[in-house]
Amino acid sequence: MAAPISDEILIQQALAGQQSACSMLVKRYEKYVFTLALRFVKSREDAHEVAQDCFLRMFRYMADFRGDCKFTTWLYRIVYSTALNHLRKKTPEILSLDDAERPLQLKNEAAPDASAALERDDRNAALHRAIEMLSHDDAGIITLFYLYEQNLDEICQIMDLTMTNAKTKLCRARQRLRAIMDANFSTEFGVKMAE
Amino acid sequence: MENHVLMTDDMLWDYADGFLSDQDKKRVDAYLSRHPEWKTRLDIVLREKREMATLPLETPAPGFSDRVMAAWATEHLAAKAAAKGDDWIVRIIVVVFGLFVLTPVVAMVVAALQLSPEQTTTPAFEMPQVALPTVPLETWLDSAFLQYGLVLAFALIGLRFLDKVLRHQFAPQALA
Repeated sequence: MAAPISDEILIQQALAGQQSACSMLVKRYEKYVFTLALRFVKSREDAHEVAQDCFLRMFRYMADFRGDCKFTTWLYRIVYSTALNHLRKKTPEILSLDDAERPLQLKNEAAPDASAALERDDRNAALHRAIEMLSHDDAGIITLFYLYEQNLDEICQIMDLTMTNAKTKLCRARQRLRAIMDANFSTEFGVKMAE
Repeated sequence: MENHVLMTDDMLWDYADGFLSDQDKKRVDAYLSRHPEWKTRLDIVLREKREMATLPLETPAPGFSDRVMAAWATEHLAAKAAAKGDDWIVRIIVVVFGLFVLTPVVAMVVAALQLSPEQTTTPAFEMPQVALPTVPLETWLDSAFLQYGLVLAFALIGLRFLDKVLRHQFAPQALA
């Protein structure tokens, strides 16, 4: 089986004006970009809009990508800034995606769909739902670190954070996720961790 | 050594995520080997970490990539058209053609509008009767004015073409 064409080659072809290379890049990353956008903006409709904007910005600024970082890191940085701009437009009072001060939604009544996830007895669905209940920033950093396997250095570049800040945010996000899972999905994640 | 370890969930997660120094990692290893209940907790942490890493990605609506490509094509065409308008060589070509081709036409119109001295006394409502100046085609084609103008215009078009070829050839190297 032929090896897939690398991102670098696709970028070169796209820069040379090959539409097929642009299309392949979109198809290769549409799920990643859409998932991350959805984690930030929380609505599928808005996530489609943000994801489309991301790809357009990716094409626009592709010539500026010098390969200093991984292509995915560069792309996720675009997703983060596009989502942030989108949220600022929708709710002008949002100055940052960091909702650290926002109280957690730990009660079952705050998450009406939680019971559906429980009925399905599906840990994945419950975990997915728990991540959805996190704030934008928490869901984003959890997704980037655990699902997209971006290391802390890369997360710093994507979210424009210092190393200490990124580590603290990740730690807090994990704690909040744990709290949400304990409060809403105790059947799936029955073993409570140490206080 | 074990006494120095204050085991917490955060430490377990840091251990699982590889954030601990080698020294701390050894301490945690030693602690876990003596405390099976914490080893069980670590197994839970590792399972949750694995589950987070294997969560299925969200799928955008069907035709999403086609819509993106259509939007890009529209934007690309608009940008191309705008860039063409901003191109200095294209502007110069327009000016050269304007000077060398349109100037005689403008000159003829101006000449046609000029009134002879006796006609200046005619009442305003009467149309002036003037003969249009005529330039034979052969004379016009033989004029150095037109020939140099055309040579200059074609030279600029060639320069523009060369510019496009060079840009196309060297653009991908920006990635290197």
